Amino acid sequence: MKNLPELLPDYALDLLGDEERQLLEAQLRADPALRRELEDLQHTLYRLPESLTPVTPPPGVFAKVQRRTSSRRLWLRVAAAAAILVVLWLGSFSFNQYVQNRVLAQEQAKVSSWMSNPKAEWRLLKDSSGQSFGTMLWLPDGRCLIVLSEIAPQGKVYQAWGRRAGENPTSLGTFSGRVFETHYKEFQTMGVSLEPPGGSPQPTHPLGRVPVS
Amino acid sequence: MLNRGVEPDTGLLERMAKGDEKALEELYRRYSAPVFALLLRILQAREEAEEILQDTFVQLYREAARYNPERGGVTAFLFTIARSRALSRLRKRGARPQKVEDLDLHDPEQELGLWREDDPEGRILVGRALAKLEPTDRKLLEAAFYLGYSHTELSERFQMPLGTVKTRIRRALLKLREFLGGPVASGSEDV
Repeated sequence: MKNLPELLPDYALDLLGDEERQLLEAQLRADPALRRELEDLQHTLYRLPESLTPVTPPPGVFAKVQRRTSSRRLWLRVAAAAAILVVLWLGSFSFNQYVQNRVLAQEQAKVSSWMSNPKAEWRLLKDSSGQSFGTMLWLPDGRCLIVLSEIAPQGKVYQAWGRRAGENPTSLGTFSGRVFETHYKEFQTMGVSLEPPGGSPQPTHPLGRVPVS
Repeated sequence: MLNRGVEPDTGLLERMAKGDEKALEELYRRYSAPVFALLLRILQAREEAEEILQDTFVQLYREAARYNPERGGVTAFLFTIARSRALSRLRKRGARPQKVEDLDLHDPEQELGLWREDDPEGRILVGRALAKLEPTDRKLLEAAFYLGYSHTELSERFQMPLGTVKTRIRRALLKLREFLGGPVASGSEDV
């Protein structure tokens, strides 16, 4: 008989036969630690699709989803009420989408260029709860690239900081997109904060930092 | 997902469980592109992928109340539904898809869409972690995940003893987890 934890990867992939699956499921019901291990492996497994290039589905698909989840009556009422707004929205949407796509393409090109450099190293940027909110890449020549998970919330900007031991943080500039290139050479730690437009003299809402020396 | 003015996925799912269709729309906006990419990768057929994409989000809407955040993230919940439906469709077909030459989602030269708006670094990290796996281990893991091959089928396709297939798949997933842990930096309490 195999060690049950050894079966977890196969279970996560739905590769177990009936007998082993039933045995493992019985053990999973009784063992919280084993369940946590399984959830952890499933979490890893379902990160696989993140490696695929996202493909925007055709615009009509969501309308079909809505039709199947809404009552027809509600859908018609919403559609009628929104008809005029949709016409106005479509006009602005096209332009906004165009601008957004251009920014994304530029960010993608920059990060791809850095990632293709074999000297580039990286570290996750984590918030106080330990959740990753971005990545910092750096090169031996002193340049670094901050890549964040989200654009800054409306009405806020990100501000990058460098810090030497025993000194206050030095502002390295503000940005509102996801990618920001700066330098790290004379600092011991690098960090990011969320600030009002224009930035702040010192961080008011720090998000996290990483050591770079 | 960070909570800096952006509603977490779990909050959206809770609202959706109460029938809030705006929450469904937001989850669709966030995840339809990566889910569609997964479905295209599995099915290699655009029309079927669109159909299963619809089914996936309808099922997500109807089963939102069943979601238990302690048992994994919303994305795993969503991708599980999508993968399971797509693999069922594959099995109904009775044959795995041949790779469509003009739809190779693993070809880095082919840009079919933009990054997921809220997570540009995820693809980089997972791509890097996959690249660090032993190539055959990676192929086995991907064939099991994307095509739903059993151990026996993998053994035949890869011309490898059954035990070796099992060992390699386990190793691949455990290594992937290790690599995704990455060289984590601590000390994020302030800037």
